[in-house]
Amino acid sequence: MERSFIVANTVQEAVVLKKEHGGKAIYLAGGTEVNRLNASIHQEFTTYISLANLPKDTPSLAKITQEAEALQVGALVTLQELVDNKATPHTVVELITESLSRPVRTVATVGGNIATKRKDSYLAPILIALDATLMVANSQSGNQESLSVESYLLEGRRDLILGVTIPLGSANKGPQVVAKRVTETTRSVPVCTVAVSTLPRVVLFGETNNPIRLTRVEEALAGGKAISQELVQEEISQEIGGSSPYREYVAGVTVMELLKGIKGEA
Amino acid sequence: MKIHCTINRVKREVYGDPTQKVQPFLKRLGYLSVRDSDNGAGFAGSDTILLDGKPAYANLLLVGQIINREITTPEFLAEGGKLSLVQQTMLDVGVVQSAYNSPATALVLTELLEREPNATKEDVVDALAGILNRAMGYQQFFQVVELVKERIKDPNFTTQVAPEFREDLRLVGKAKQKVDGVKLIAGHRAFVEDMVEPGSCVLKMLRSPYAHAMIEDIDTSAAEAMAGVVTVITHKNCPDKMYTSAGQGFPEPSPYDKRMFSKKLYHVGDRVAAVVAETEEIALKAMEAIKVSYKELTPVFTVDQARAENAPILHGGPISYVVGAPDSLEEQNKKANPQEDTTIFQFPLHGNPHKNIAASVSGGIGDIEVGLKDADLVIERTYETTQVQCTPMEPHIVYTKMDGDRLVIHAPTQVPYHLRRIVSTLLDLPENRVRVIKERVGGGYGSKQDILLEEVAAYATYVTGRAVLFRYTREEEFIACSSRKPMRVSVKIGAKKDGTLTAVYMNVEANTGPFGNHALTVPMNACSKSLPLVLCDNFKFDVTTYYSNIPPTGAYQGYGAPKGSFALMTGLAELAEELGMDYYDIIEKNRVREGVMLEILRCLGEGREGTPALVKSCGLDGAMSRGAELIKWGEKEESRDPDIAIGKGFAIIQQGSGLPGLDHSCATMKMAADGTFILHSGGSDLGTGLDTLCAKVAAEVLETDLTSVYVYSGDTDVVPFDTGAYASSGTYFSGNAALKAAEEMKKQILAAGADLLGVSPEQCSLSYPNKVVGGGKEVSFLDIARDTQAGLGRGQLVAYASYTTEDAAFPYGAHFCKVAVNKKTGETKILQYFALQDCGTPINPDLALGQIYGGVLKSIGHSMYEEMILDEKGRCINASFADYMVPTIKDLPEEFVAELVYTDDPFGPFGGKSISEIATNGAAPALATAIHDAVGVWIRTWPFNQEKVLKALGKI
Repeated sequence: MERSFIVANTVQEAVVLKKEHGGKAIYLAGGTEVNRLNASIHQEFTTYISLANLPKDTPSLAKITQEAEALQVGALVTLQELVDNKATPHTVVELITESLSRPVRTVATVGGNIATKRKDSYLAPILIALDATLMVANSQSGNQESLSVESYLLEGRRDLILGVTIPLGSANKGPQVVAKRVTETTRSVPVCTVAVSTLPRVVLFGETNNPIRLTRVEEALAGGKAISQELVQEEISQEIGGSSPYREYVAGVTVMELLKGIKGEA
Repeated sequence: MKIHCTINRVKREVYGDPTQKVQPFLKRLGYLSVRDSDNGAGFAGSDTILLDGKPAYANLLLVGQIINREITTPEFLAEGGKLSLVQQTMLDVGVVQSAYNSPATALVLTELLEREPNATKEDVVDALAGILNRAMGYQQFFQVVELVKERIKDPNFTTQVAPEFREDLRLVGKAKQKVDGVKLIAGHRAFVEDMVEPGSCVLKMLRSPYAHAMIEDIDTSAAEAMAGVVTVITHKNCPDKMYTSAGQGFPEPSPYDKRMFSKKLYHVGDRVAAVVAETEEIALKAMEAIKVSYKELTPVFTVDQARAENAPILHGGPISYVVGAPDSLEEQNKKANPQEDTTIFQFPLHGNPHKNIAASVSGGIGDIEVGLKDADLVIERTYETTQVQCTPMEPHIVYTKMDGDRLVIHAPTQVPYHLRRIVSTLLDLPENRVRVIKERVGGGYGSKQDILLEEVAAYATYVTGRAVLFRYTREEEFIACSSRKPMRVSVKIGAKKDGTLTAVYMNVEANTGPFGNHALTVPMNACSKSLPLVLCDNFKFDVTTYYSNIPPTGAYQGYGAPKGSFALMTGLAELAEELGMDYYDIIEKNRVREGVMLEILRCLGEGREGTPALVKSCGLDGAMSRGAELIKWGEKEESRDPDIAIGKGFAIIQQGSGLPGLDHSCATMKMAADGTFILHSGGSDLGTGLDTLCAKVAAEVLETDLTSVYVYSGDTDVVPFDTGAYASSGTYFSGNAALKAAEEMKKQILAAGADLLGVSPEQCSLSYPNKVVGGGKEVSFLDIARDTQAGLGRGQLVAYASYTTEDAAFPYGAHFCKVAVNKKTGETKILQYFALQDCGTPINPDLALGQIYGGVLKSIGHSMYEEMILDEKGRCINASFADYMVPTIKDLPEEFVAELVYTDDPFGPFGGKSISEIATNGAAPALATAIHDAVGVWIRTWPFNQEKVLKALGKI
């Protein structure tokens, strides 16, 4: 199959190129997912639009900026750069380093990890739990647009991600988040990934292609009610009914464990 | 387009396709050390490079992404020919074994130590988490990093990297640099893939989508007509001969039930057609152009399905015997389907393919019924094991070419001579027209004991005259390779109240999959390598092996022993619980000891009558007491977390050292003109250090340095016969052949030296270094060489030795572990693992430790995580590293220690016994008993994953 490799020099150019080539083109950032031989997306696309030159025109794409209550992370920041940044929430660092090897972390980008919509994403569950927002270049107009990570994934958007705003928490202020990736071996495909934040949000990844939020549990948390294992299991069963009893049980136990952890009980 | 980039500090401008992967691009430019174990899955790390100084996977990058960037490959580390500090230290510590990933590992560790000069254990784990190592279990890498840190401070820093044995010897029992280590660590040309010449063809295999089917029609004309297609091979034009893929001594104890291509398809992934083309791309396109119509048949996947009444039969064709046909054969063949292939037994294996039985055997000593009657307690338990994959880092590969009218096969095979025999027979070629060259082996673990792809490439080369490369993808490694046979092992054990065993019965039901390679010997080995661990007057065993439509199985390190050990040891632990005894005490009371005659082996010969064996050395005393001390056996530990329960377990283990009475090794040795030596060993070094071992043994005998003995092995044109590297035979058989050859060389040197000294040979002896002394005088090897090879000399000194034996040397060991089981989540963490093993005199102690760590980690994998999972159609749904769940450095036990327990064995070379396979036998029973100790449940099926623990605890 003939493939072409085009380097975009500006964000606008990248969006135009993508429109021109239609569904056969794909943005190429780090490429660790796109270039995986077995990844189905690799088979579908014939034109790579390299984003490597974009930071020359838009430096913020490759930068991390710490603000008072948020971390602005450019889409082309690598996962290793995110890990190395001192302001990055510990849970993010932990989940990325636990599940990804360094040769992937040094190349894979934050934007790419979200845009490839992996159901075993290392980043998305935490970002949704923190209600992080994305800045994207609209795939039609090229205009910048802000939307939540959750919306981006649930709506199946393909817009070019420019950056992510991660709300920062401290001991007394801002959202806190804990997360766990349940696996048999550390590098195997996870049974599920769960993130819980003080917003409160309870996010489950791994069973379906879309993230699942346990909204009834979240409402109970917001109302200051005690959360029982039964409530959690019940909602999980509704959400991922038909999955194996093991997966449902493990997801529920993990949610309870994280709820305890975020309350400082663990 | 022109690609501008910097490679190893040199600015390059080369033509390349920006959409091509970087790994093949670099390979084309000659950077051979950038390899591929996972077809670009980003898991195994063989393709690790530095991109702008940071580690990256070359197969996850496109050439377009490296434009104007800086690439470093492992070749850079040893530029100028001198190994870097990290590379040299890796060699010194003994971590360069099968070595497919060793260059990448050196690169990663170099980057780590430049970035973090004070790297901690956690840093090492993080750095190596992206490199898969199946050979030596990672543990010694921590030692490498500590040693490099010391050597950075003090370049002359030295330390003892491994324990030493035998003070009376200079080389044997001491850690010495592996003789093939430099080329392996530096990433020089070493593996089959490095030998491929430009212009060679590529072979790709069209495989069956069905688990059980007949090919009704196949049309290859469109494929054959495509430009660049050289040939297409199917059941219509392949040799019409039956054979077994098992690389075993002839006549093999495996049925000949395989045709190169068959009209009948036995598993998903079975061969349908081989396409040989000028390029891989053309071959893949041609594969798509082949039209096949299949008639789908009902498959069977389990032993129960295979033996059910009216079960679909896999091998329903005629049955024949070379010798020993049973009287019932004619009757059996009345029902044979002449449209199907014939199954040929070289001699009776008590199989009946028409009942899906590939082989069976029964035997025992004493009277099992009497033993059971005498018992105060009898327990019966059943244990099940799963199909697991060997996953060598170097996938199966072969490169074949013609040399005039001779066929040359480059293969990473464990059995060069069996490979030559099988190919010669299939192609009707005399053996002297086939040359097999075993290149370095990037991991075999049993799977390269079988002839799985070599014969197809060889045939393609023979009929086309073209050089052919055939390399498996990682998926093919799972669906068309060799794997551990799933088994159901039932034990019935009788004992007195005081724990004395009165009867032990083992019933093994094995699933051999589509073909009967190793169908008798693997399951039988479950009995022969476990039952002799305990002493009892009454033993009985039954073994039945069934065909099914699962992906092919075969040999895997440990052979049948890990399954037998799991059943027997866990069964004894369950017996101890029922008797109210400590498990350790019941083992101690009944276990094998030095000086015991193992009568049970009389009926456990592999395809022939066995012989009882005397246990001349047994390290179980030391292994058990040391293990109990390390693990603090008997001390119950509690976790502060109420959800966590701590438990301890252990198992004793054994293996053999080759197959006395069956195995056969030869070696020749010649003196060069300067008094150094060239040893031609028939042995097949699989990366385990067999060549080093042979060099040490010979140099020890000849009172010379290790560097004075060059070992060349694995080339059937040059080296003498050896049955091959399987059944843990290397140290014992190939090592003893090297020893005998060196002793013969010694005799010749003494005779020649005596002549020169003017004394009798009896008055002479060898003296280190390189001298013959006698009658108060001395003469050097150099002078002897010059004299013997001069015009009037006696001729070059050449020694030959052949080694066979009936004597057995059993390696023993005890594995202890401590686990923490989370009662809520089912997670099991291995807190401590102690592997104490007796390999007699550890000839390469550093490499021996690595093999123990590697064997243990592989068996932790099959006990806890790994399992080939098939869907209802027989398709393997987890045919990749990440889905299959191989353990990495991040899954190591928190404390992981291997220790060598010295014993003095009279038969092995300088007392050496085998080390390679036994290490896989302990993890399953040790972990099963530890989990029981923690949470009180017995998990009797592999793998002991979270789901099984939760089920056993009644949580789901």
